[in-house]
Amino acid sequence: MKKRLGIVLAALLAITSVTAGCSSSGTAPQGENQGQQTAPKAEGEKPAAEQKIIYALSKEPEEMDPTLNVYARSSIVLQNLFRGLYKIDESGKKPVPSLAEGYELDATGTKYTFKIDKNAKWSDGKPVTAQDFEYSWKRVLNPDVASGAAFYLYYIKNGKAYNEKQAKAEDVGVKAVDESTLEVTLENPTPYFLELLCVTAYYPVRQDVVEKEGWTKSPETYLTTGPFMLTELRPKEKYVLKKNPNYLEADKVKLDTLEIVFIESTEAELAAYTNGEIQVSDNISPEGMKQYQSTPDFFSVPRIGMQYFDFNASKKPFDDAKVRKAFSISINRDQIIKNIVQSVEKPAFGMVPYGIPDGVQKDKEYRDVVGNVFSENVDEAKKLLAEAGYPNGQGIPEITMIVMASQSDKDIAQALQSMWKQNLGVDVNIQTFESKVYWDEIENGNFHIASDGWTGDYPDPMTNLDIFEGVNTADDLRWNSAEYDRLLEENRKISDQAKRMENFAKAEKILADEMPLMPIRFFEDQFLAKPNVKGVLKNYIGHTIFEYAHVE
Amino acid sequence: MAGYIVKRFFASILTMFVLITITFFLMHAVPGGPFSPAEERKVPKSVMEKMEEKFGLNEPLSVQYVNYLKSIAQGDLGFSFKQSDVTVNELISRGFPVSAKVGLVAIVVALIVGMLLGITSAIKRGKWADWASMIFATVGISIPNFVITVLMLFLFAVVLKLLPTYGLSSWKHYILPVIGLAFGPIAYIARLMRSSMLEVMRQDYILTARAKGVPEYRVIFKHALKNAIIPIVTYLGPLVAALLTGSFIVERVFSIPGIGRDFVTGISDRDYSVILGLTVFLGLFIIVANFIVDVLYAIIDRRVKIEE
Repeated sequence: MKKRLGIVLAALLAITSVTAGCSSSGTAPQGENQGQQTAPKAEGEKPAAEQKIIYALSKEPEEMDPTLNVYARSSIVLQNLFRGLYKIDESGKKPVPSLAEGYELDATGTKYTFKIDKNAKWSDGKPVTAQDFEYSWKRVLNPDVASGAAFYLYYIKNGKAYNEKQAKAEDVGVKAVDESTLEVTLENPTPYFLELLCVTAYYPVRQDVVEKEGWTKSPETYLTTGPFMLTELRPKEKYVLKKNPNYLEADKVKLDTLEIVFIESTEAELAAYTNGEIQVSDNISPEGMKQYQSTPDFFSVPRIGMQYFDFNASKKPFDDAKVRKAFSISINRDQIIKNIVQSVEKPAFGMVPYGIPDGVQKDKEYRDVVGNVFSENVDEAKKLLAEAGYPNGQGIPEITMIVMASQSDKDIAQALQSMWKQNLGVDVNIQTFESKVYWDEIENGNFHIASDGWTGDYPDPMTNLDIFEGVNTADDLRWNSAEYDRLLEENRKISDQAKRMENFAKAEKILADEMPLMPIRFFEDQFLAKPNVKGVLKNYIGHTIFEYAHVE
Repeated sequence: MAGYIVKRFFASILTMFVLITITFFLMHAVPGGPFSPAEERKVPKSVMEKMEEKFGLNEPLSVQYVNYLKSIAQGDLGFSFKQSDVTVNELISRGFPVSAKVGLVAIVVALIVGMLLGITSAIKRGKWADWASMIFATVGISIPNFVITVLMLFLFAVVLKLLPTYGLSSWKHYILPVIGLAFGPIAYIARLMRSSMLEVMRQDYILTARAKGVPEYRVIFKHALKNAIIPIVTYLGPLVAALLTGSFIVERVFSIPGIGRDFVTGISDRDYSVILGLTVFLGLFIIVANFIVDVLYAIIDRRVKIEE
């Protein structure tokens, strides 16, 4: 009897060891890739490696219809599937013609005439027409469609009016003159209009498929105009993208397959990258990134965004610019970035981030041309606070700082709290809120200091400065300056770049003097790519683009 | 039996109704909505209001409630607010089979391993085998699931490079998630089995069987097991419901496209239709699983009679 029991136990052991035994005899995932290698195509200079990249996103894209999309994650996928009139070039910095051959601009600076390339085709081979663009743009603005992306097209004449049911579709300033000519009329001269054309909301969709229910859910009806097309759609698991042979510049696309897999946990993504199961990764925790910071796998690219804190200028003591300034210049941004965020990003001593070219010296960054607009100085901060009537923080009202309930936000808040205590003698309370209710707290004004952030849409200082205009600050900073608003309004109407840049610098100076917000750091996008993967592009909005990528 | 089933059926409908009502109003009472910004504010208010209008969120709550009841009566759980082209029915119909597949393997593994461990330690009471299984069981119950899964991921995938880290594309992909899911239940079943086995083995009929010279393995597996298994069957109802409908942690760590994750992300996204739809589905599942267990109970244990 004892023997029989022994057998049972042995069987049990066997069951557990079978799993271990078999798996150890299996090939490692890197090996699997080799096994699937396809023979190099006989096109001469085609490299021998399989032209396939597996890239991970944290979740499935929320929206696959570019005319409805406002999400950053979805934009990454859409930027690889679609192209519009213009695209961001290989440097990731400036717009170049894509489906359009070029444009003509009239004397008023508001009427663009685009010629669409005769060879521009949908992924099913049919030509892309001016009518496709007219249909798509009007779809974005159509009040019945209720697209969240509509505001991106408010630059177009009567765009906003149509979206708000104040004008008819015919009044909107976009018109297909013939198959290949698109006339676009804008509300104002917009020097960054070509950059705007690279936002997914300006990409075309085709009427005959869009009008079918659920066109984004099947590769058959999902027609694209970009370097890749969708060939397999496994919800929550992966999307498989193949090179689109009908893409205008298909001859330049080297990658055959782009597999986008969805890995939610950052630990798992780090494991998958380390294990070689994915080749490009950008959803890794700061701790994980740190391991790779000194390897050739690591890249960090400026994004046109900034983390900052709002001061509530309607509440004491922050109704006084001196107090706001004292708080802002008494912290150590470098320390926060290096020790708390653990990244290689740059501290923000201005409001316009890196990644935005100067309007006059196009090869230079606006930030470098203008320089820092303020600097840290604890002694000066103490003096300002005393001048405001709170020497060494005495008599200052109770201050509440609110942040979102994420670990990194809480860590930053605690660092700020101790810096202010140490340098100014001020106590600050921290309150955390879940992200979905956080913005309501700001809107209701239940804060003195609030964590905030912004990433622009196009590389022009306007995208980062217009959020501080009076019309936009009523819900957060509760600060406004007539002069600031005037400078920006003027810049909307002129196209003289020298004058524009001068106005932007003046506007930034106002922000630095009044300090209604406290800039912390300019965002950079960090990502990892295996050393044999070349040409992966992060553009200035943080989208990962594989059009120019290949495997060596 | 038929009368019992009919009674249970109506009780279930009432339970579901209460469940939907409570979830609906609680969910709407939580501040924030599906279109509230999460990371950065981007969409202007006027545009946001238009989106809410499109989804009927501008209607009074009572109207929304009645509309929801109407559509659910027709089996329509509505569109997800976050992924506007996906219905909740689709979400469940493609996510549930995935969760269920992994869950089913985990249930089988948990039952076999847990019962064997429990029986072994009951028979070898006080010996090393007993100690070993019970230490394992205590550890299994005490260590939270998320610790075990992340540790396993690190050990087997990163350090040893034996197993893949994400997805479910081969049998190897199942190993870690199944262990992650089965670990706790194995421990629980082992302890349950041990105590119930010990109790049964003390009964007179076991003594009789042994006295008659029945071989020990038959005493254990034929006579004792049949009665000792009853507590396990009771535990099986909630276990099946929990494992088949997926686990948030395991699905998140191993990137499994099941429905376990949707519940939690649905709540943080305020995706009302997803929260409600999954609650309804999970509620139904638990009701049905418990009902089946009750019936099974009567079949296994003749002493239990289902009241007519």
